Amino acid sequence: MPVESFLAAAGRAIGADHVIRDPEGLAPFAQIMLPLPEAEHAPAGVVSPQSVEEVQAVLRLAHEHRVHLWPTSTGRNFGYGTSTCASPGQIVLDLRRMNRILNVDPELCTALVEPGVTYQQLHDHLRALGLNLWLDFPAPGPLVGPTGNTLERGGGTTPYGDHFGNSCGMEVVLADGTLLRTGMGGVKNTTSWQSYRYGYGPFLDGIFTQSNFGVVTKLGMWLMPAPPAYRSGMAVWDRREDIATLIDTLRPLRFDGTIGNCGTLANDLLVLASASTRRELYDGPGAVPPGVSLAAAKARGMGAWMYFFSVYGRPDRVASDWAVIDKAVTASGGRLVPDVHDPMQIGELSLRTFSIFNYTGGNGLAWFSPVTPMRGRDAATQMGLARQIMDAHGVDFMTGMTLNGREALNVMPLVYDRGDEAATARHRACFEALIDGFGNAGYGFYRTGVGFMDRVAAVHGAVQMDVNRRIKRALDPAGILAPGKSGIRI
Amino acid sequence: MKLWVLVLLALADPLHAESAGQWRGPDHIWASSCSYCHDTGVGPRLRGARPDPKLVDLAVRNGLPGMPAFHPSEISDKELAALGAWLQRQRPLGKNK
Repeated sequence: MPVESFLAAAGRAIGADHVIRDPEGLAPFAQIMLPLPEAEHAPAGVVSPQSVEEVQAVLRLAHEHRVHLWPTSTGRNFGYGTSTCASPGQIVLDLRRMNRILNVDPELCTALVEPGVTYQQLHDHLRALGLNLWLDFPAPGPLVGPTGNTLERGGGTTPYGDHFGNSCGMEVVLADGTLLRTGMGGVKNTTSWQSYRYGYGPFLDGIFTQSNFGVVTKLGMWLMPAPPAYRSGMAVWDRREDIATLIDTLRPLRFDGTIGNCGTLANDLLVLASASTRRELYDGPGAVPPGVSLAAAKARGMGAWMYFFSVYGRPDRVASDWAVIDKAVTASGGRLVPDVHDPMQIGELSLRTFSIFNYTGGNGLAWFSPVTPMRGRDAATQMGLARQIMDAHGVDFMTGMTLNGREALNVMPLVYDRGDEAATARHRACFEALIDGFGNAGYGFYRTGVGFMDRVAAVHGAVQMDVNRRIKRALDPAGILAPGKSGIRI
Repeated sequence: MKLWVLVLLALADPLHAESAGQWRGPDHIWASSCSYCHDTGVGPRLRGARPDPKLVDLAVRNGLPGMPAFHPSEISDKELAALGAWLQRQRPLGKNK
C-alpha cells in the first residue's frame, strides 16, 4: 500500500513520533463540522514536520510513493472543514510543529512567522517584548494562527481586518522542493521582505491562497500600532426591511474612513444564538420564524439588525467621528448604543463566539459566504434569497456581515446538531441549494469548505477552473498537493 | 538602557518550538486556551470540579460538541498528562492561591 509505505518512510525521515497512522490517532483529524459524512473527507495519515528541510523530505517521499498531501497550519478552519481533506485518503501535512516567531520589527511593525504560530503565541510574544501593537484575528483567535487564516483569505474586525491585504512576503516550498520567497524575499540579503509586498514582476502571493500550488512555510505580516483612542458601539435598526437603508447609510461612512473597521452586521437570531439555546427561543416545526426572533431581540433591547463597529484615532477624531455616525444612524431610523464591548475589534483575544455551539449543542457548523456588492438593494436581495432557501429547508437564518472595501462579506452560519442525521441531511441540501441559488443570481463566494469546493468553483466559471488547472500542472505536475482544494486538480 | 538591550536580544532570538508547541506548563495551557471557554461560562467550569484525568485526556484528544480536539502536535501526551494532574489540584475559580 503506498500510504503505508509512505508513512513508514516519513517516520524514518522526521521521527516516528510525528507520524499518525492508527485509527484512534486519526479519528480527531477526521472530525468535520460540515454537514457531510466524515468518510468522504477523512485523511489516511498525518505527518508533522518541524522544518523546511523536513517538509522538502516529505514532499520527495510523497512523489516516490504517489500519495497526496493536504497541508494545514493549525488545522482549525472551523466550519470550513477543520483538518479534513477534499477527498478521502490524503495525508494531512500538519505544520503545527513549525511554530517559531522568526522576527518582530518594532520600528516597521511587522512580523515573520511559521505556519504553526497561533495568534495567542504572537500576542504573548508582543506583550513580553513590551510592544504596543495590536493583532487582528478571526473569531477563534487564540486557537488559530495568521498563516492559515491569511492563506484562506480570512478576516477580522480591526482596521487590519483584511489579513491577506496586510500580509507581506511568503516563503513557499513548491511540490518539487524548490524554495520560493515571494516579493522582496528573492533579493540577496534582502532588507525589505516584510516592507513591500509586490516585489518586481508578477505578484505571486495570491496564487498560494485558497490553492494547492505550494506549501507556505513562512508568512510576513503587518501589525497595527495600538491607536491612542477608540470607541466601540452598536447601531440598531428595528425592522428587517431596514437592511437596504442601513447599508446605504453605512457605506459612505466606511468609504471615507469615519467608521474605522469593517464591523459586523448581525441579524437578530445570530446575536440571540450566542446567548440562548434554540429550545429556549423556539420549539416548533421548521426554522425559527422571523417574528419569534425579532420579538426575543426586542425584549433584550435589540432589533432586527445590529451593527457592531468602532472608531479609532486621536481622542478628538474619535469624538468627531462618533458624532457624525450618530447623526447618520439616527437620520436613517436607527439608534446608537455606545460603548458596546466587542473584544475582536480592539485586539483582545476571546472565544466568546464559541457560545454559538451551545445553540443546538451539536457541533454542526457550516459557513455560507457569498460576496455582496455594498449596495442596499443587493443586501436586501441576498437576505431575501437566503431566507427563502433556508425556510424551505427548515434551516435557521443567521448572518454576520462585514463591510469591507466595496463589498460586504455576507457570512452566514448554518448551525445544527451533527448527531441528528435528518438535520445534517437537510443542512447539506440547503447549503447546496444556497450555492446554486446565489450563483444563478450572479453572486460569487469569498470562501467555502471541503465538500462544496467543486460546486463553488463551477459558479466562478470554466475558464477560471481551466487556468487554475494549467498553473497546477506547471507547479505540481504529479498532483501531489491537496487535489480538490478550491476545485483544482491536474 | 539595560531594558532596551534585553528587548533587542529578545527580538534577535526566535522563539523556539518545544516538543509539541509553545506551552510553558499546564497553567500556561489553561490560561492560553482552556480558560477562554471554561472560565467564562461558554463551556462547563472545570476548576474545582476535579475532572477525571482520563476524561480530560479523552475530551482534549477527541473533542466534544462545542469543543475542538487538540492534537499531539499541539499538546503533547506529556503536557496533557500534566494538565490533567493540574486540574485535580485546582479549586473553584477565585479560590486558588
